[in-house]
Amino acid sequence: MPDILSLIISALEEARGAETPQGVFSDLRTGTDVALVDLDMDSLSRFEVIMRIEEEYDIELDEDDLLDQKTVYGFAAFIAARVAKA
Amino acid sequence: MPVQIDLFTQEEIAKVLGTKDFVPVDYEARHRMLGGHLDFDVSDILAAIRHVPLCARAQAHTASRKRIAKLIAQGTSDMVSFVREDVPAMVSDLLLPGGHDVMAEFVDPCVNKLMSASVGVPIDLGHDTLVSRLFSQAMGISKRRRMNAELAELRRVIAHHLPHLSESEVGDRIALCILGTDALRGTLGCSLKALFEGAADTTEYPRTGVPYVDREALSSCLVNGRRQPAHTVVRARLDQFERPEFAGERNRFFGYSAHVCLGRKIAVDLWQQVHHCATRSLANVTVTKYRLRRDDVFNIPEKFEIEVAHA
Repeated sequence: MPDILSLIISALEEARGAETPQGVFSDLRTGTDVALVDLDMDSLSRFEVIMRIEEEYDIELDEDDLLDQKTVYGFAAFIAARVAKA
Repeated sequence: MPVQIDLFTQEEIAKVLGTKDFVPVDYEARHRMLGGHLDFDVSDILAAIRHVPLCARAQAHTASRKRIAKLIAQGTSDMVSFVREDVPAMVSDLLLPGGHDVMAEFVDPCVNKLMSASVGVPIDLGHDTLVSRLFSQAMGISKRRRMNAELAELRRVIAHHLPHLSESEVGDRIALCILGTDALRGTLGCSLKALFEGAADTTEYPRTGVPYVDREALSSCLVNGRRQPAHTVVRARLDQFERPEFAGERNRFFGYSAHVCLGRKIAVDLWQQVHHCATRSLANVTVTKYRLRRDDVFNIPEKFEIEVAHA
C-alpha cells in the first residue's frame, strides 16, 4: 500500500498536473504544505482524486470530505484517520 | 457554476414551487458526467431517474406523477391497515422500559412496511441504503457504484415478485422507493426526536427530513426582489417551517401545488398515529444518542438511541 500522502500527491498531480503552477508538487514532496484552494480543482478533478483514494484504501468518501480540508497535508491526515478506522 | 439562492419567504417558495417557470434541476447530469468520465456503471441510476417525477420536467413530470399517484392509491388500503393495526404495537414495543435503537427498531421497519405495501413487494432496505440518494451532488464514487448496484437489485426483486409488470411499471415502483424511503425515514426520525424532547407542539410533524427543494429558473427571473439570470438555482428552504411560529401550518413541508408530495396523506396519518400512541404512553423517554447522517439532501438520523423508563 503506498504512503497516503504520496498517493494523494500523485492523484492530485494526475488530476491537475498541467494546470497547476510549477513547483507545487515538488514542494509537496519535500515537506511544504499547499492550500487545496491553490490547486484550483474543479468538481470533476475532486471526484478523480476521491475515486483513486477510495479504490486504493477501500473506503467511501464524499466530495465534501475534500472540500472541508484546507491543505493537502490536512487532507492526507484526514484520510489516514479514515483508513485507520476502516 | 450557476448561482444558487436560498428562499425563505412563503411567498417566494410558493411562487417557485407553484409555477412552470422553475423546473427540477438536472439530477441526471452529474451521474452521467461522472460515469462517463471515470468509467463506471451508472445505468441503473439513470434508468431510475427517468421514472422519478421530481427529476422530470413539463409533460413528463405530469405523466410521471399520475403513474406514481395511481401506484400509491393501489397500496393505500394496505398502508392504512398497517398504520391502524401494526403501528400502535410497534410504538408500544419501542416504549418498553430500557434502551432502544429508534431507527433499527421502529423507523426503518416502519418505512420498509409502508414501501412494501405501496410497491406490492416485500421491501427490506437496510439503514445504510443509498437508493434515495440519487439527488446527492456530493456523494463519492464508491457510494454511487453501491447505489447503482442497489437499484439493480431492487429492480431484480420487484421483477421477480411481479413478473407480469412491464419495465416501465417496475421503474415506477423503484421511483416510489427512491422518493419515499429517506424522506419518510428522515421526517419520522427527526420528528420522533422532537416529540421525545417535548418539542412537538401540535399533532403535525414537527420536523422534516427534506430540508430544501432545488429548482432551476428556465429564464431570467425575479427572486427575493432581484432580477436573476436564467439557470439560477433557487433553494426553497422547507426546514424553516420547523420554527414555532409555523405550528399549525407545517403541511408546507410537503411542498406546493403541482409539486406537493404524493405520499403526504399516508405520511400524515402515520405521524398522527405515532403521536397519539406515544403521547398516551406513560413512558419517560430520554434521547441518549443522536447524530444526523452526513447528507447533502436529507436530514436523517444515523444514530438515534433512547432510554425509556416508566413512572
